Amino acid sequence: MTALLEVQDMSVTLKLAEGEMTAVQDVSFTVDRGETLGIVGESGSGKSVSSMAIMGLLPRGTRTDATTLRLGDVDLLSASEDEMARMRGNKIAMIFQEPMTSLNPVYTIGRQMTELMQLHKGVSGAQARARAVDLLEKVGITAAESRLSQYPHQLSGGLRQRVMIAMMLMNDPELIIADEPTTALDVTIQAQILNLLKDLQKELNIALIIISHDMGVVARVSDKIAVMYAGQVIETGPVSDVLHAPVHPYTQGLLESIPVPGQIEPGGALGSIPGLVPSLKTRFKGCRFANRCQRVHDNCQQGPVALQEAGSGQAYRCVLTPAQLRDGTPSLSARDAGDGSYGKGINMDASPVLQAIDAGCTFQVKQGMFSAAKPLRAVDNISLDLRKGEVVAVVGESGCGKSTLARMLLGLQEPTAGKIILGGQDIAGLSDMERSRKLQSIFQDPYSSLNPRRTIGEIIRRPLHLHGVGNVAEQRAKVDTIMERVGLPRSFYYNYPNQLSGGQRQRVAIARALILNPEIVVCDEPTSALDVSVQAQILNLLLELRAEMGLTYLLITHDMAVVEHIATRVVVMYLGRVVEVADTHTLFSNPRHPYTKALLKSVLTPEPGAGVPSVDLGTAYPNPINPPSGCTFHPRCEFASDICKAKAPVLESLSTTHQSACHMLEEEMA
Amino acid sequence: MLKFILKRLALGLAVAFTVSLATFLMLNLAADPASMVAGEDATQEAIEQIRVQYGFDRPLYVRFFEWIGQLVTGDFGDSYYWKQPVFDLLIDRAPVTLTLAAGALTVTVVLGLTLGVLAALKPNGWLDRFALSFGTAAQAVPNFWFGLILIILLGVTFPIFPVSGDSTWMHFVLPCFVLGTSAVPQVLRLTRTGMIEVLGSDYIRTARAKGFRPRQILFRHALRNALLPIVSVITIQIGYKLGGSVITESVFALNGLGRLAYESILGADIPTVQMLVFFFALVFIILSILGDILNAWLDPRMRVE
Repeated sequence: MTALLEVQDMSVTLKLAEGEMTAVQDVSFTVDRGETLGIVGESGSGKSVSSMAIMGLLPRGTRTDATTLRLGDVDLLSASEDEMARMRGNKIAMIFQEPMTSLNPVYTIGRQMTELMQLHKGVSGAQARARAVDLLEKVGITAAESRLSQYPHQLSGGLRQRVMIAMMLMNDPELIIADEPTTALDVTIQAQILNLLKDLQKELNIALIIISHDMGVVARVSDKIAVMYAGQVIETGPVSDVLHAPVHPYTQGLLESIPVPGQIEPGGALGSIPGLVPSLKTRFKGCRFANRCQRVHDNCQQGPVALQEAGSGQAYRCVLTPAQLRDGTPSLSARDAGDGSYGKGINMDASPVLQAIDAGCTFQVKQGMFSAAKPLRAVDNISLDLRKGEVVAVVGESGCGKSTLARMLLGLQEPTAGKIILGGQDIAGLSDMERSRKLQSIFQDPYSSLNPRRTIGEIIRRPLHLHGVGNVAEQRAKVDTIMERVGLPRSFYYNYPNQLSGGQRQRVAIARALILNPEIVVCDEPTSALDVSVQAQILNLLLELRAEMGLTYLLITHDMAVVEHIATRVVVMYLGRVVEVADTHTLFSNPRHPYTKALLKSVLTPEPGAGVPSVDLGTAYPNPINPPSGCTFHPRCEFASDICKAKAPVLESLSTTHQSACHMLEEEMA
Repeated sequence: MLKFILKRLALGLAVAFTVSLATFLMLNLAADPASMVAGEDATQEAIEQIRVQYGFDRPLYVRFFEWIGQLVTGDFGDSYYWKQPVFDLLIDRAPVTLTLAAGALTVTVVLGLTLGVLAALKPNGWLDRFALSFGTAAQAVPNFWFGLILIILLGVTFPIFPVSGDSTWMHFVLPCFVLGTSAVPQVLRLTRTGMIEVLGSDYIRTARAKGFRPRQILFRHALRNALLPIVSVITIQIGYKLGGSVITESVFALNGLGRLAYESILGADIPTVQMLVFFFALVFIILSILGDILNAWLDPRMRVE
């Protein structure tokens, strides 16, 4: 049996100013019709480059070598540029990460779909339109006919990704490559798109390659997976074998660094792979993972390591045998499952350290030069108390107002209603100095939140200088201490941010936030820009620092796995309002609001073959300028009744630690 | 779309009114208009006589609304200097200037867009370097000097083109080229940057993944997006061209509106200057409305709903 797509020993070499760089080396895999291959890896692992090589879309000056690179009976390696153009969009289709920017903004959906069929199949416009309508209906888009004349900006992100999928099906491709197809989408939309892809693939008997950094996504939709690291496939095999019995220390480490409930108690130290993903410019002598590996061995640097068979189609790239690798020696540093005491002992009767009282923030939004400004209620009447030692997570999809709430609590955004109280005083009356002594923040993007023109040392020392703490020598000593504490080598003092990796920069941001000994740190998506293996390091660090320094965190995030692991209390927001608040354990074990339930259901833990639970919220996230009447969630709620359309529910106390705003609960309580 | 155009027109009228007010105030308040018209050596009596004769003795607002009334009825008064209706002067001189502006615009668009696109296809390639050097040179060289050099080179040393007058289209080649190249650098750079950005965008990657050939991608998917910011710059450039015609027309002895403006300023011919400023402003306003409409046609996101 020969597979539809066969890739054997493929290498991709990029030409750079400073010489050649091998971005992908000796990658082999096959995918057959009806089969799904998941490629998982961190940034720079070569997973996207591999897919672009198959498409023949790598930039000029890039060289692709392989012993075999074949789709059906076409040799992709020797095919001319013209033959490749005839394959693309026709036999091989590709779906990209960013649905917001991957469609041409100046042409209608209809034109972009029909032109693809007309290009390859030479059909009439009417035939292509008919096919486009069929496919739009197939991907679950209503009023398909009228959608054809719409432009991309008139559609939501989820709809655009559906259009993208429908478009790529126009010519009945044999192979679809989906590169991070759901990474840019909200979690509740992710499930819909993944299920759609899987259903279509089965129905149309297509070969599918899903590329993702997210082990949960890959585990649930793939038949087999390839784990990539530094340009190589480091482990491959049937998905259940690789995930249940990983051989390679990197795969083992990757799986253990993901917080999975049931395997690790909240607040426990996640397993983490030390160090950083190596630059591909490195001249590798032997195993590319050796410098981060706990099982490092004399033979690791004795030349390139070949892929070894581990039985039943599983293969791995390591000098040790599967038996040696599975002997139970920890593949990771310092994993501590925790003792269940996390989050206990917080005095909930103490006076709050930070408090929002009926706080609201309304922006006046003008949609055109002449139209009157309309109010946008980013945050609508929220009350929230933070007590010392708490880790309060605010969760919700993009547009729910969680970042505006964070900015208000930081004193960076003046509330238009209610007030923010920091340590018993109205934050509006505090100076920047008074505020920043108690309250600090860490942001999502460590690439843009550090001043590129200051050295690491200056960045961290700056708050001390501004607050006039100690003399230069004392300041320098403090900087050294905190740098050591957050795991930055002292030699970085004179480096600039661009010389550091994402994880290291986030450590700098943490050091800067903590150098003044603040009471509260607001962390806005602190790990979502980081690679999985680095995310665990940062989460562990945040947890240790909290315990040592008695910090209180406000965590803004969309990642429910992170929330379950480090939050002590969770606030669920929807369209500027709080729909549910509870301690973490209660919220995850007994969610009451339909929206919370949907959010939790959409979390994808890496369970092989478990499929993707369908979360059907029907319509897209509403536009905050025209919020629905009554309970703003009602158009997406399967339980909605007449009262939900008419009246907004209020937060009802279900227990001392659990409140939710839903009419069904009100009836229950009455 | 109709609502969009009407809104732009209303805004345009408001701008036109403001411009006419500003022009009127500048010409009448900067110096005593009567003594300007009378000339340097005029006696006090002569000045006073002119003041009464031309009506400068009446209050400012009366004269302003009188002028507005003239504008609306299409009667622009008589020129003090040429002793004929300003409107006739305008009709007489406008074709030369409009031909010059249209020709210069063609040069700008053809050279600017072509070089910009070619430069963007291979950033840092030899074409790109050539285009950028050309752009820098064209920006650094003063317009009038370039005109004179061309006259010496192509009019005198190698007499290919006539160098003064406006009787044949050959007369317009050099002035259009001189005036046109002055705006090339800006259009070129904008096209280049826009094109590089568009070619690196996600939707161009999608077009490649759909199997389009490079040429199809360039013309079908990239150009329209790259043109968006250029349209508004070109509209502004036409305005500069009209202003620039004052110098170019002098260098090439073209009898157009630019020359007329130059002469009427020297002759303190207030009605003519006033009319010319208003006319240029009006052309500018109409062009920017056209630019907005063109942009809205090119880019669905600009259409206000």
